[in-house]
Amino acid sequence: MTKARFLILSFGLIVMMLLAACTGGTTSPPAEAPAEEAPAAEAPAEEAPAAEAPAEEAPAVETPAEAPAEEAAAEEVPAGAAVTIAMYQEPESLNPYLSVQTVTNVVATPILEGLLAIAPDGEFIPVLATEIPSVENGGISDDGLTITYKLRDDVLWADGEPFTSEDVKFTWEAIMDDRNAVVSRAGYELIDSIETPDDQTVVVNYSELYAPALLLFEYVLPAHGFGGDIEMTGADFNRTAFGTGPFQVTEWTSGESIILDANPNYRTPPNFDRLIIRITPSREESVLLLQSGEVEAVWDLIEASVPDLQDDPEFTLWTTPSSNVEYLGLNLAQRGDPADPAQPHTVLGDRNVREAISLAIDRTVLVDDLMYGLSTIATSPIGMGWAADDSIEVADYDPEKAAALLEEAGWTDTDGDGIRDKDGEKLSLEITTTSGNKLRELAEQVLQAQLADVGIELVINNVPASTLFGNWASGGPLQRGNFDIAMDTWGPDIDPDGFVSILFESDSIPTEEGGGWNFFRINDPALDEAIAAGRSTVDLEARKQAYSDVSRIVTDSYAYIPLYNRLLINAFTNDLQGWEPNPWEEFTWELAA
Amino acid sequence: MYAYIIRRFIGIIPLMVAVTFISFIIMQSVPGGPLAVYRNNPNVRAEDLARLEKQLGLDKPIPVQYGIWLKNFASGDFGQSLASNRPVSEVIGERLLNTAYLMGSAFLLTMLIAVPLGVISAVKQYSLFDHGATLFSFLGFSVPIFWLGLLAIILFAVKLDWLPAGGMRTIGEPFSVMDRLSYLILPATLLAFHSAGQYSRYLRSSMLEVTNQNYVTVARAKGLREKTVIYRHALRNALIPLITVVAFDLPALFSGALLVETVFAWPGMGRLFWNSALRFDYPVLMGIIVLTAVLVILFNLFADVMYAAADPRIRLTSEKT
Repeated sequence: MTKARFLILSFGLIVMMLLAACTGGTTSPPAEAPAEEAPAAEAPAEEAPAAEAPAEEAPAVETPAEAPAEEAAAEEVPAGAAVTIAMYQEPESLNPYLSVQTVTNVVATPILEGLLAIAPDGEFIPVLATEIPSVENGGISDDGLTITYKLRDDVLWADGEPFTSEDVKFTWEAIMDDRNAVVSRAGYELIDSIETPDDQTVVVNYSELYAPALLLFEYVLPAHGFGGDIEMTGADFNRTAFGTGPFQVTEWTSGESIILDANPNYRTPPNFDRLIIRITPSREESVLLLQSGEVEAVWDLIEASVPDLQDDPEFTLWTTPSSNVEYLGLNLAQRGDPADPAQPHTVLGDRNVREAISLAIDRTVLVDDLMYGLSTIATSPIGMGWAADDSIEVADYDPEKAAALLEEAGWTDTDGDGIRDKDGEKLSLEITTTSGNKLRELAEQVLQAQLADVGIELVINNVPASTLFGNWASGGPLQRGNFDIAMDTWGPDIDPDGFVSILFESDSIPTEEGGGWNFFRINDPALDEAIAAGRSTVDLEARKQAYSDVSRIVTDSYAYIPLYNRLLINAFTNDLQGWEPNPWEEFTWELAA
Repeated sequence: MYAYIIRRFIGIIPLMVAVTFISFIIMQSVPGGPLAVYRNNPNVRAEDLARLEKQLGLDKPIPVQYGIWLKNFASGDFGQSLASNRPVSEVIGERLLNTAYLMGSAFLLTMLIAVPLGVISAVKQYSLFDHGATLFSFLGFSVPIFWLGLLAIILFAVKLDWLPAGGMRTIGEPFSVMDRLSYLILPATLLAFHSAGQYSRYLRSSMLEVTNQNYVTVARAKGLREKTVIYRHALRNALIPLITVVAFDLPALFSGALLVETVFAWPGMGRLFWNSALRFDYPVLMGIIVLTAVLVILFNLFADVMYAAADPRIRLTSEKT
């Protein structure tokens, strides 16, 4: 789903950490340590702010830094060493426009750069542009239809050619070329023309307002990288990508590894020469490789790996809540195959019942016991980034109030079997999620027990992911509305427009003809209005307000019940612990060595 | 015999058309499809999906898609991978050698273990060695190979640190035989352990049968040395049934072993097939299926010919019997 950007950021962090780590490792005279540390911390300008923000946001980050300092020193990375990262997926291509795979973007990020990038706090930072276009600095026209970027004049491609405005124009033309099977043209197709008055100026003219315009040109491709052609499909570039970033592809052995070497033309040379992406068949294999010392880092683990690595002093587990929220989706329409959106659900159609379900859930059990205390309680569908409204709260666990609401709704236990009933119908609901996910199965059992306490029976019926998310024609239960409660995970991109539109807009209620993923079948004009307001302006304050409204309306409907924030997990060997931005730590290292 | 072989070769064509057509239809009828990965991504809108469908040729009726595939295939073009846009022949080609290298080594090791094991078990029937070999064989093909593989990794790579946990070579290092061997030992041994048991059982029973036959008794009566009787007279005949079994397994030399490749992160054909299946990458899947089907047919033919070579009583004719 859309955790891509956060994963990329986390990967940016890894690279950042590694850059710093190798400084620590390669510095021999202690006196020089602080001096060399300084440029390393700043090295990739766009990643520097990324380093602090998530660390602050994640109080649960494991930092067994001090204790194993001696061990770390004993095994420190030799000078000029390669750093190997295990990934359980292989990119289909290194051209991010031809693939939506997260791993494509992750591997492309140290190679290709964009005009702007986004820090984890949701703020834009300039990369190939010199400043962030805004109405104030004249970068965005008053009508929002023209965006002017000023480009850096000191950037070279890895092959030595200068980076110019023509490259930006080429990127757009390649995306729009019909020979190229580009995965998404969203936004780019609204561009009328691109002018390049000089090498350092790009003027982008839009035919209509596109609120997330600054997210475009996330990767700029070299105009000369496709052999004078514009055809990207099947181009060598997709496997031998080079860009303006700190690394370039040296060798790619399918199913095994991708070797990235330092780009000699990068503005600030990275502190290590080689980054090896080790492709493994599974996360489990990646963990074994970490444990046997064959890789230094593992990317994107799942919660189930936490107990294995958490207490092992040889490894550092880097965890932080992601933008993905685990939530319950309640069907507002009477369940059927297909459901009629006009017919309210006999049980869940009553808001009191939905609120009671939310109140009857003790989320601290999920967070503390299932997520090893590493995660946090989710309060809103947009939990992170500039569009998140931190003032939204989720009501505390209150089974008494839940029971009172159920009584009010007419659900009482007349036959004394512990399950409430009304008009001869039992308060029994089915919960479904993707089968084979241990964490979710445990969470369901916790919910089952907690809801039983207030007299709601929860029947678990899980199906494979391909079935659950199946399309209308193949009878997907969410698409057709053939479910009561679904447990799922989804989160917004840094620009939440796509996410809230596909999930909550009334136009996105699935139908035979299509629609989106509003499987809750929420149909609220106020919500539609707030979503529309979010995409109809480029003014960030107005957009923040709109998405705050969206989050409030959605959580207040109790059709979407947030549970907890999913985690981003990476693991490192302690060899790579020098990244800690603490000069004393460096000093300890040197002393121990 | 040559007429027979030529006829068999001609017979391959309709067989291949049938195999590829059925595979194509079955693949296409699995719900999902190559664009399913994009379906719940809000950035890939309905208009993008429609455009991609057209660009990738997925909007045409399935029989038409098959026709196009067959036409290209007939002219030697396997098409392009839907996922990576690379030529299928290239995608498969780079995995083929890796797989042949692993499976070939494993096959050699299997034979080195299976043949002596089978012969000695038969000659010393019901001895301690025979019972030990029987136990070994049954363990070999009844213990799940992925489980054994994980145990081996945990023991030899994680705990003892003697061998690498997975992969084919030390990445980024220059070629070295010792380095390659260190990566080969675990997966090849496990594969051999798995199939050696099976082969040795076949050989044992076939040896037992042969050694009870009159000509072996005659050989012994003539005063031939026991070694000559067993290895020159009995073993040659006992190997015939094994040829069939082995010939059926030989296509795996190139189609790979998914479980072992997965456990040991070997970049081989098994994993390629599995990943392509998950991704609905039809052209790559078709390429692998064609390759495997051709190999199965060829090795069957090879087995028949070998049969005739090993046993003069067998005549290959193209007439129906």
